[in-house]
Amino acid sequence: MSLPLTVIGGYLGAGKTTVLNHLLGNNDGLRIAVLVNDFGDINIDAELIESADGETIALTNGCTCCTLADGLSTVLAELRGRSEDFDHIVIEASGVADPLKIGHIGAAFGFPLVGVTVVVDAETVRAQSTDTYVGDTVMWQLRSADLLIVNKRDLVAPAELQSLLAWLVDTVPDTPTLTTQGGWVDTAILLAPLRASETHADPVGSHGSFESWSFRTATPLRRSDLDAFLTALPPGVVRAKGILRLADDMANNYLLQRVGRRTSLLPLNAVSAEDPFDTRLVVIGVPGSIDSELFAQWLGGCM
Amino acid sequence: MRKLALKPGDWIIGYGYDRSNLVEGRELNIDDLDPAFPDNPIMLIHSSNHGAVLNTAAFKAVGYNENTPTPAGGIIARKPGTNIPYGLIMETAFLPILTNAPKPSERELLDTLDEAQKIYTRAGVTTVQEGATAAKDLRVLRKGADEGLLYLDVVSLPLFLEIPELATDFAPDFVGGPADIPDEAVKAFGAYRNRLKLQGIKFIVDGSPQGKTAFWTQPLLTPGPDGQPDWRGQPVIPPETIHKTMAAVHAKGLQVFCHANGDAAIDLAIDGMRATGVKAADDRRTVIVHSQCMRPDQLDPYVELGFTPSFFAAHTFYWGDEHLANLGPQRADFISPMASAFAKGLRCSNHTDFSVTPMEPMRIMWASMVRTSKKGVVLGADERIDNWQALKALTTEAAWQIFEEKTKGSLEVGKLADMVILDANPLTAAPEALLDIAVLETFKEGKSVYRKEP
Repeated sequence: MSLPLTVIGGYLGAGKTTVLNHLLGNNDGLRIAVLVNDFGDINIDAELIESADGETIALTNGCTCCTLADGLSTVLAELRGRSEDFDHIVIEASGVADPLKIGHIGAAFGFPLVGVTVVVDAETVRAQSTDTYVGDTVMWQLRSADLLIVNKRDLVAPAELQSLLAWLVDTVPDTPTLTTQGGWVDTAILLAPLRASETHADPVGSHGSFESWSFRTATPLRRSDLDAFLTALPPGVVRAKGILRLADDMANNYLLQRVGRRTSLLPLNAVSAEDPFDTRLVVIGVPGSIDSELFAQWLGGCM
Repeated sequence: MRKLALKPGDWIIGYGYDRSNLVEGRELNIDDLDPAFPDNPIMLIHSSNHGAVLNTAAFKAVGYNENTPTPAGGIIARKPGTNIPYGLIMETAFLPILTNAPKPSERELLDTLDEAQKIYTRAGVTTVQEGATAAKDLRVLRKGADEGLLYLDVVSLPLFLEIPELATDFAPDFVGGPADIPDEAVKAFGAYRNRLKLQGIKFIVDGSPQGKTAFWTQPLLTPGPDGQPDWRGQPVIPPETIHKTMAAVHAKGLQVFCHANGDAAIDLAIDGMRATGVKAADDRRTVIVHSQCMRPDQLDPYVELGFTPSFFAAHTFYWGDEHLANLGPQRADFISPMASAFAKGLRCSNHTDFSVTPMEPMRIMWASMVRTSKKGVVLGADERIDNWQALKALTTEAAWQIFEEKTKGSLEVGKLADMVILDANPLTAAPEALLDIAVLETFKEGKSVYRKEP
């Protein structure tokens, strides 16, 4: 299977690097290849460093952090030959880059784009969005986002945060948004595919400060019904992930990754006789966004 | 192919392809290329470096066929009525191919230095500016210089984002960012060593006007490169990063060269240098490279801060029609405003961005005097300059911009005998006749380095 690709974008100072620092230190078992513009602000616990040379730092947890000094395309071409060594690629887009374009470049090298996450600084993003020099750039970044992370929420008053969130809804409607501070985002939310431990008997659960809903069925889903379900999810849903059986192709298991508003559905492996014949799906959202009865009804109606 | 002893299957890679330079005005395709190159993959790289035209052998070699989907953010032109790749590929369809294309070794690069210098000597050029040098390319140039392979003077401008990598060549223990250029590296600037000189640091603020990646204050009249409405381009580096590094480089006494095409990019350069407190009297000769879409009100800050523009007036010929469509007549007429700049007392040079445009000094001179597009439209008749100014912009002013006016730029006792013999006088020739002037012989420090075959 091809390595999934996530792009982390956002203007200079929004906190992209702190998000990456957390991912590298709390990788949730994923071997992540993180491509950064430079090591300047990357801050890896010395105990985690296995080896380092000019352009690459290898971590004891299986992750690697690598600079883009030789150019993004050169690094991507090299990673093509090392697909077995990693589970996920994360690219830090430069402060003025359109992260979706970076994602398209990654996809052109054979790494399917599963999410464009844009980090914004709660204190400064609105002023940046009208700045003479970088206003257009910041607006294009917001529009390119599948998922927005409003960082530094602790640095603004609650009313200001609410007003910012309302502005984001007006500016980029239908883009799921979560808030955080210190660049902290749970790796399970941002990157990790579905794990067995994430589905539980009780359909309603929690994922840190998020609510989650899990669903399991022995009946294969139709692709069109699944798409309709995902499209209908409210914007408070930031993430969905699953391992699915599709009526459209019974020969393969499918891996579902939905990050913000982007859905990727990729063949995971061929169905074997030992596979439990079922579909597992978890939906994660901000508190209040999960309506388990309605979701069950929607998906139930699909079958 | 016979001269290079190419075997079937060997790649042929060309540079500087541009549809707008073809008489037919359309893209080349496999039907044009295949009859001439049936057995060799050929890739003609677009002058933007964002795409190329391939022949059928090349498509086969890279694995593109009628079943290849067009990737997001890319273009694969298809033969009309079929799904067969027809020649042109762009952006994400091209990038993996460029990346995986065979790369010359350091030795192979060094072996091309002679042929590369001949491009200049044939044109009568004896000082060459390498206008945006990456650290690894500088290593090749330094090695070539040390091996005595340079017979022309090469002036290199290392890219500002490459400072950290470059710094380790001079200070092995260096750790830091572009704004932390160490003194060991600073000392390497300003003097020739084996015909190679590091002159200053090159900043890049925006892209190109014809690629619509320049950065303007006002939107274009046409959509952006991806069809965006109200497109005015973007800076390619955060302004904070540019300004911080500019201040540091300037404080270290190094000369700043800043690529800025759009007026917003030029504003950004003005803001950055003004913050350093620099004044014209300091004689720092900050070069704003291209300065193409400057506004009239930006000339005064140039004077105040001691900026010197290096214009690219040949754009009025090569892309004049595009600029007119994208910018409208008022802005297009003020592209590379050489007459206004001279009138303000600014010293300005006029360059070709070889290999984006050809190495043809007389074409550069001609363009600044006629400012006429390929379709014959005059862009800004008021900005035309005379023979004398047009020649100065290629000689005395260009030498002054790199602090070499004492040794180069004019024929005077005590200066280097860097000379060219032309078959007609460019100071008295009518503009159209300039294009017919031939270089008879070129001398570098008195030694003949090119002689036209009789």
